[in-house]
Amino acid sequence: MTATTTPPTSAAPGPRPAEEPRPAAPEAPAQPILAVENVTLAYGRKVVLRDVNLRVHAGDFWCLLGSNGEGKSTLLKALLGAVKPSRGRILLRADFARRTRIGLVPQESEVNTALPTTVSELVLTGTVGLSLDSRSCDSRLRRVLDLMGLQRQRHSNFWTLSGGQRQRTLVARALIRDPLLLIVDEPTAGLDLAAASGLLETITSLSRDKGITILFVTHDLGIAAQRATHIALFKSGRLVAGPTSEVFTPSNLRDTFGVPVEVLRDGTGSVSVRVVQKDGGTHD
Amino acid sequence: MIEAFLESWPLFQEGYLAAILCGVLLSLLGVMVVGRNEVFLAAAVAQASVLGVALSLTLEWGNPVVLAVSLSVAAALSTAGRARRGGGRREEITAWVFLGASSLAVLVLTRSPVGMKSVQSVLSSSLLGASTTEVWVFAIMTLIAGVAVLAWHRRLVLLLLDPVMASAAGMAVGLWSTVIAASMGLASGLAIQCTGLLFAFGCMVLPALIARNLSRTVGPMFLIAPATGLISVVTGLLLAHAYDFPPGQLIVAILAALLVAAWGIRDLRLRISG
Repeated sequence: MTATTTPPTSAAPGPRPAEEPRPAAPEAPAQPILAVENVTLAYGRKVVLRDVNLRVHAGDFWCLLGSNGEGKSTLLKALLGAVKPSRGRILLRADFARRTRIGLVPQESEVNTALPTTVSELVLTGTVGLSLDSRSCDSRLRRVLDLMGLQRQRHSNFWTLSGGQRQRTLVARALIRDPLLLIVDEPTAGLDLAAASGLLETITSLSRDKGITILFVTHDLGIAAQRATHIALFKSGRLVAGPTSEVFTPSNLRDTFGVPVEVLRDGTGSVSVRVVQKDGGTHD
Repeated sequence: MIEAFLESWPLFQEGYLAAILCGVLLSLLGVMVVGRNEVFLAAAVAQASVLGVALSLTLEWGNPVVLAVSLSVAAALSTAGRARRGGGRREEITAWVFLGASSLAVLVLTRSPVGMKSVQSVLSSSLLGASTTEVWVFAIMTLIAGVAVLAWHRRLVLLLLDPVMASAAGMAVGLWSTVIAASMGLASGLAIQCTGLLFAFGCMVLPALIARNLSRTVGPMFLIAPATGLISVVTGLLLAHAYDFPPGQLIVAILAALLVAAWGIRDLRLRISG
């Protein structure tokens, strides 16, 4: 499957441009694994996102960027079925409809702090909805704990682990589902540099080596610049989304974050960003 | 002591069995209540049940049991619905139900001395007046709850630990919440009618809190809580019979003491494990 080549889409599609000559018959676009069509999300009367459109194809690495309270996590919850759209619809490709191949790495704060749990118990809850016997569960548990370097902590109290170990436990819980789509909600928040970098590398390798589609919520422009194939920018209840090369532009970033941002591309295709400060200085 | 207790069994067997079954059933449901931080909700649901009794006696309308259970279920469902819609007013609704039901129950009975006496008896927890029908109802409900926990053990653990992940795994979280709330309302409403408010609320909350402090994971809480409920009720009935104490109050006092012991054990365990 190839990454989408659809142009950036605004939440409120404008009028159709004048007829243009059609290019030679293109290859039929791959069916998206996830399509969000004109979706409006609200809590009671408070509209969080309005008329959102998004098409995610297999193998994409999407970064969802925006300030706090702009609806990134709400959109994820809607994709997961935890929040119902007040308008529009969310379509999952047929093989995803039962959600058995969707993994979620939530913000750590989503886990109920009032309850005691261990690494293995928490990771095994990821098998809910899968038809696995206890041997398969054990085998998958061993595999994901090995992958995340948590084998020694399997009987440890989840709440006594370091922040990085807790996040790796949540990644392991997502991976035990053998996911094709991995939804990751600000996994590096609160982690030290080494833990954050290790976790990012793991997630990137899942996308690169295993072809897992990633939806990654973050505030970090650097992560988006270096790892995303596609970007979705959230601002004032609207969404601008598309391939990184088209959406990750200084004007879009300024509109989203309210500060001037430089986007630098070198000859190797590597992208970096700099925030331009009021005094004319910059920082990465 | 045990012999004397067994001699009293034929006379009070319905009351004893109802107390034991209520203790196990409410402790099991209590794991969901405590796990979802809904202790205050359990208190509000219990008060709604008392209001049902008060309304039925004052208005001379319907069966007190039916009205009590209906109001309990309605109270539990109203807060579950609010939580599902993502509203931030869940605590407010719970407080409103608790305080509104508590005050209304007394107000509507002010001019009905007989009704006031009935409600006082519900509040004070008398365990020995159960009927055979009530014993059967509690036995069936306990069996259903036990089978449900066995069948959906991992789903319930996930629902408690991380409802968002539960949605991601394809669970209909709203429906689960509604069924759990309705079960809690139904069990509380029936139990309060039969065993009184103090006993029912104590059995719903205290064994689960004890289990949470003793257990290292969520799964065993579904075993420790009902076992604690069972042992406490049987011990309480034995001691109450031997020393002529009111059994409901004694059982709740035993559970309260066990919770203090569980806090101590938990602190000790944490200190040892560093």
